[in-house]
Amino acid sequence: MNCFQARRALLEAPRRRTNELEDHLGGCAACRSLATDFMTLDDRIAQAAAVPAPDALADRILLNREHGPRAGRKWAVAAAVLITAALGSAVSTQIADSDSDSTVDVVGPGHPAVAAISEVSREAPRALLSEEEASRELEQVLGRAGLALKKGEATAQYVGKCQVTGTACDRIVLSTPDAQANVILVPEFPLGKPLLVSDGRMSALASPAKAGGYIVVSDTPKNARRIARLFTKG
Amino acid sequence: MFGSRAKRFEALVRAYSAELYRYGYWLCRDRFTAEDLVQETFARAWNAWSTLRDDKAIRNWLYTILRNEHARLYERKRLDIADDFDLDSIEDTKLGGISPEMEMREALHGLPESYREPLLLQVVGGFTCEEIASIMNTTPGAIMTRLSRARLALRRSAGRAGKESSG
Repeated sequence: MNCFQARRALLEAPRRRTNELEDHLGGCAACRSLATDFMTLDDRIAQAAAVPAPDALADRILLNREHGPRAGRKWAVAAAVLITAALGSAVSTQIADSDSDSTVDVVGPGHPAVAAISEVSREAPRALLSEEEASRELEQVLGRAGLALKKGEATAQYVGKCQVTGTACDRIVLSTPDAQANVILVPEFPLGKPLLVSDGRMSALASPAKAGGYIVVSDTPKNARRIARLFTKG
Repeated sequence: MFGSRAKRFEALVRAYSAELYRYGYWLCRDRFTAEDLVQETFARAWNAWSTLRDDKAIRNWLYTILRNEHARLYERKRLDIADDFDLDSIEDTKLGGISPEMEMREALHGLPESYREPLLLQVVGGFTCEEIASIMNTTPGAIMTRLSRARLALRRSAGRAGKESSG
C-alpha cells in the first residue's frame, strides 16, 4: 500500500483499519501523523455530536408498537399534509423534455414521475437481495416491460414492488461506478414522450417502454439520463 | 438469532434507537421531532418486517428509513446539494469564550447539510463512504469529496478552538 492508497483508505473508513493500512502507518511517519490528526478531529466531532437520547426512548417505541402509534400516526398525517402541499404548490417543479430541455412550470402531483420521486423519498428499499437473486428478478421484471439493460453496465441492488399513483409497480435500485438510481417500472400507464421532472433534491426521467413506461429517479438530472441510457427496448 | 419476530425487533430497538435518535437530531435539530422520526422509523420497520431478507443490511436500512422520513417532513425545506458552498463562512459563526466542545457543535451546526450529514454518518455512525452513498442515494466519490471538505472546514475551527483552550 502506498501513501495515496493509505490516505484514501483513511477517508473511506477511518475506523475500519486493515492490516495493510496498519503496516503502512507503522512505516510512514507522514501518514501516521495524518491518521493521528484525523482521529483527534473525529473524536472531537463525535464528542460534540453525542446528543443524549431521551430516557426510556426504546421502551416508548416498543409500547407504541404494542398499543398503537398514537404520536407516530399524528406525525404521519402532518407529514402527509406537508408533502401534499409541497408537491401541489411548489412543484414549481421544473419539467423538461429529456431531449430538448425545454421547461414548463406546472405539473400535477398525480404525475407518475412526481409520484415516483415521492415514493423513492418515502420508502427505503426493504432489504438488499443477493447479486444472483437481484439479477434473476431484474431480468424477469424488465422482460415484462419489454426492456433490457446493457450488459455489464450496472448492478441491481434491489428488485421489489411499490405503489405509484395507486398502481402496483416494480422498483429496482441500480448502481454504476458513477451513479445510483431507483427505476420504477409502470406496467399499465402509457407514458408519452420522455419527460424530466426535478424537485430540487431528486430528478425523475420518465420514458415509454414497450409495455407501460419506466421512470429513473436519481440525485441529478445528469445521473437520471445516464442511467436511462442503459436501457434498450428488448 | 434473536428468536421470535417480536424479540428480534425489541433487540433492534434497544440496540439502535439511541444512535438513530442522534442521527435524527442532527438532521432536524429538534429533540421532539427527532424522537418522532425514530418512532416512525421503527413503526415502518415493523410493518415491513416480513420483507426483510438480509440481517447485515438492517442498520443501513434503518438509517435510510429515518432519512427518508425526515425528507418527507422537510421536503420543501431541504437544501440542494451545493458542493461549492462557501465553507469559509462557518468561521463567522464563532462565539467568544465558549468551550472547544461547544465551538465544535456550533461549527457542525454551521456546516451545510450536504456536508454535515455524511460526516455524522461516518464519525458517529461508523459507516464507510460506500454505505453512506447508499443511504444518501449518491456515489461514493461524491461522499468522499464532501467528507474531505467538511473535515477541512471543521479542522480550521477546531484548530483555533484548541489553541484558545490551551492558551
